[in-house]
Amino acid sequence: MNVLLIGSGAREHAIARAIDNSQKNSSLHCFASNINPGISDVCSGLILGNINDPKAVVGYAKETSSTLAIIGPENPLASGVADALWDVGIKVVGPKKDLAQVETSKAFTRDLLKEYNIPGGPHYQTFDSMAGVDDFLIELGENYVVKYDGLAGGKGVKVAGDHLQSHNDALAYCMELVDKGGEFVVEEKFIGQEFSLMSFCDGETLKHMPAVQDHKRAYEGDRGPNTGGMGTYSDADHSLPFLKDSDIQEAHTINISTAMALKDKFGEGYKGVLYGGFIATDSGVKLIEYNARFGDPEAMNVLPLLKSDFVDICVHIADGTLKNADVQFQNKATVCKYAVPEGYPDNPVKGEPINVSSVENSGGLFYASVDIKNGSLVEAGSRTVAVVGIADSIVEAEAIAEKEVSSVSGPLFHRSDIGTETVIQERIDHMNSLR
Amino acid sequence: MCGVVGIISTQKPVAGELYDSLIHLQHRGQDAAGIMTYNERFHIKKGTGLIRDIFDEHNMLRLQGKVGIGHTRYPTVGGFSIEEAQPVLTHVPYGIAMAHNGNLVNYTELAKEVMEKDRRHINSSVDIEVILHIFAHALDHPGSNTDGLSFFDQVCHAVDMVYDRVEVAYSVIGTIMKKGMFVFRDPHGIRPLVKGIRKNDDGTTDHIFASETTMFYSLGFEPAGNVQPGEIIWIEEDGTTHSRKSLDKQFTPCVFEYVYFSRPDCIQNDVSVYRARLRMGQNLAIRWRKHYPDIVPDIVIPAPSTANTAALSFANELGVRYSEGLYKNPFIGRTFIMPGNEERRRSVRYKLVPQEFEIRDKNVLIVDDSIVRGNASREIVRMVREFGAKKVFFISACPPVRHPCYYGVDIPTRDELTAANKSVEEIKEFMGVDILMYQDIEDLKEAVTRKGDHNIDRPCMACLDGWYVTGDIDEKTMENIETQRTNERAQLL
Repeated sequence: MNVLLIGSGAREHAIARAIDNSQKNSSLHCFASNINPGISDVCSGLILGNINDPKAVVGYAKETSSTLAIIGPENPLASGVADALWDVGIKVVGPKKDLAQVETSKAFTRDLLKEYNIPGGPHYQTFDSMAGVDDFLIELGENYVVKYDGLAGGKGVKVAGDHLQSHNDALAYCMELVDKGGEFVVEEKFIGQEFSLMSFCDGETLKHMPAVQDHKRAYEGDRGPNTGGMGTYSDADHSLPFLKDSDIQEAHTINISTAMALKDKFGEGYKGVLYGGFIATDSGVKLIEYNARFGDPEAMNVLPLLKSDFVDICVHIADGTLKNADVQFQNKATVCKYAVPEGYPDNPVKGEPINVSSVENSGGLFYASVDIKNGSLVEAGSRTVAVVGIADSIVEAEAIAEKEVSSVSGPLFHRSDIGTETVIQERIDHMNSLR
Repeated sequence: MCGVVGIISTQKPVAGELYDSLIHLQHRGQDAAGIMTYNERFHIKKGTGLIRDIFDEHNMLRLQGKVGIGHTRYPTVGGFSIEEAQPVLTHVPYGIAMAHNGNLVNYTELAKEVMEKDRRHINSSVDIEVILHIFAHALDHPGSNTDGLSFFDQVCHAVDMVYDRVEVAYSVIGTIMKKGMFVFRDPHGIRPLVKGIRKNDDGTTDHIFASETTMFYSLGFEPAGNVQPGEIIWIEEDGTTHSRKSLDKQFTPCVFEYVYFSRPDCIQNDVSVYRARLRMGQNLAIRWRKHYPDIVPDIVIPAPSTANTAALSFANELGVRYSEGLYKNPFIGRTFIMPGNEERRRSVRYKLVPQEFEIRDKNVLIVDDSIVRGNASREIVRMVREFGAKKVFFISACPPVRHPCYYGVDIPTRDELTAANKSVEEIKEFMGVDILMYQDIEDLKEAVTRKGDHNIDRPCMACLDGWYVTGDIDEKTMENIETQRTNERAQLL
């Protein structure tokens, strides 16, 4: 079977490895936006182009006789790449444009949850002008979030206390969004611990992946600017140390209800990875947002644990037969850490050589924003490489990841606190103090 | 022009198949040829002349190994000695051999740069040596840190350096000792390069790359499309394939491949050459009817053999009898590709014999693929007149060739191009015909691109419309190249 992968970041590197490990005799091609040495190493063909151009992607899919396509990032979903591939008879893992609104439109998702009485939603209102914003902020008090209604690469969300220090800040940001001409959502801010729960979904059946916690802030102690994610961990029991069994159950229920609601709304199923960004609070699990694809770094935590055949799962997703698929993960803990350029995310160093030759387990190394210059591997300005440690406990996995990420040389930094015993205990204590 | 072929097999020796392939590419160059293979070391045999005269049982036995490349040469740059034959070879790093089809516009500056800056010696005046050294230099780049890069990524980096320094036009096949075979095609895809695969019983795959698909059938390879413009393909010795390409440049393959060079049974850039020529004839007929609605020739005769296909569809479309009124001796090479002009004129009469029954007292319409220098066409007209034709009409499936080609076809000086210096009326007088009609440029483009699931943005028709895709051909460059070419030719005489 010829498989086409769309995207070329670390997440897609993890997907490419999972495809490469498949027992299905598959040949992998990649439609990429940059050269990822890890991906180009395992695929038999790679094209550089605009991954958001449905016509170009379909052209390459045909040329490579691909019968299955897996879409990594969100932007091609928003531009209808999945729709175009289905139109020419190619199976796709990754929802069609309408269904991808679960990620691409925050307001759509909030309305969907409300319409179908799915628990987990916050108090919220959608605005396209300043009318009423003021009153609603007063109602929410100190705990509010402003979200731009569209894809903003993780930079459209501003949170009270973090980015917005007062109602005046909030109003100014809202004005900015009104000037931009888009809708935005103002909603209740939850207090608790965030976690990611991703599920494979064929439209009807969902098979869930281990829960993962991400760290968005650039610096240790969860300080500094927001990033795409500096590192993540998951636990051997597929839950997280601060979560109760009922939390995981609630998250599963919300994912399932959302998938059913999407199917009811559009008359066709969501085929892909449904990634719920949740928060455990004193009043149960709440939904912060949905993503319509694997998380990055979350994909690097869960995919290496997959015991079942990834390509097989993907075919079942596309065919709508996921209930027949075997989806099992190893009972191991993982810690993923990103090495990022000095100055990231605001003024990253670019074009400096890095050296990964001291990384002991190259199977745990994932390339993200790298380039090749003068025959050397260099950093390209965003998150550079990720390493994953896998062990029986988070603490052991952390020790591996920390050692490996420290051995990558070059003008880089990483967060050494992610997955450490102290930090995890803080999370547990925080959760206990709320409950 | 030139023909190249590369075969990498997981199972069997390739020398015999390379020889067979070159026989199928002989029409692309008759000046020199070579085969290189490797097993524990490189084995090379090069020579001047026709394939069948260069290779014999003795040297074929020596060409051992399951990886190899072959080349048949038609010179556009450089002279005609054996040093100019390909493949060419360098021992550092790894041991790399290369052959190509193409022509480098900025060859002279590049050669100087490679010798002075990169401190590498260029031993011939053949442009592939420049590419070889740029590639080898980048692959061997001292002080670079290749940790974390697969060998394929290193090869890509080296090709990227070639892409950076050399824009057009080249289709390259190469091998790296004990590692495998690479191919790449310039970012505009001007010169052709096709690929094919052959499945073995043990599940492994053999790969072939060539200027044409013409030998695929007889060697048991399945066509697998084009090497795309700017694409880099790397095949490991076990048949594992890697490829990389980018979508950022216009794909402008050479129109002359369809007009003249490629064998008609070949699929070039996903377009059948035979069908393209049929459509050229069709478009010519429509044009003829528009301009000469009252003139119907008694017979349509192609100037053999390239024009046969267009003449056939032209005659069909017009409802006129098609006749092979000029017999061509198949054992003589094509006239266009023999160096020097006097020689060419002699050989037209030597290889074409008019058939009097088909010509006498008839209004004869001759279809030719193109009129480049005009000498061969004029000779044909004279021959037909001598055999008693009443009127002679002459049509060309290709529009007037007014501009030199710097991208790999041997029409480099404007002095030689009859249409660059004469009006159509003057050419008509020169040729001594009653009507002379050329294909329209748009009609030719339409004929090439009408059908086929192709991704051609527009064919390169620089020789017809003067539009050079790289945009770097100024008056000075033209003069330099023309002077260089004229001097090289002078050395031959």
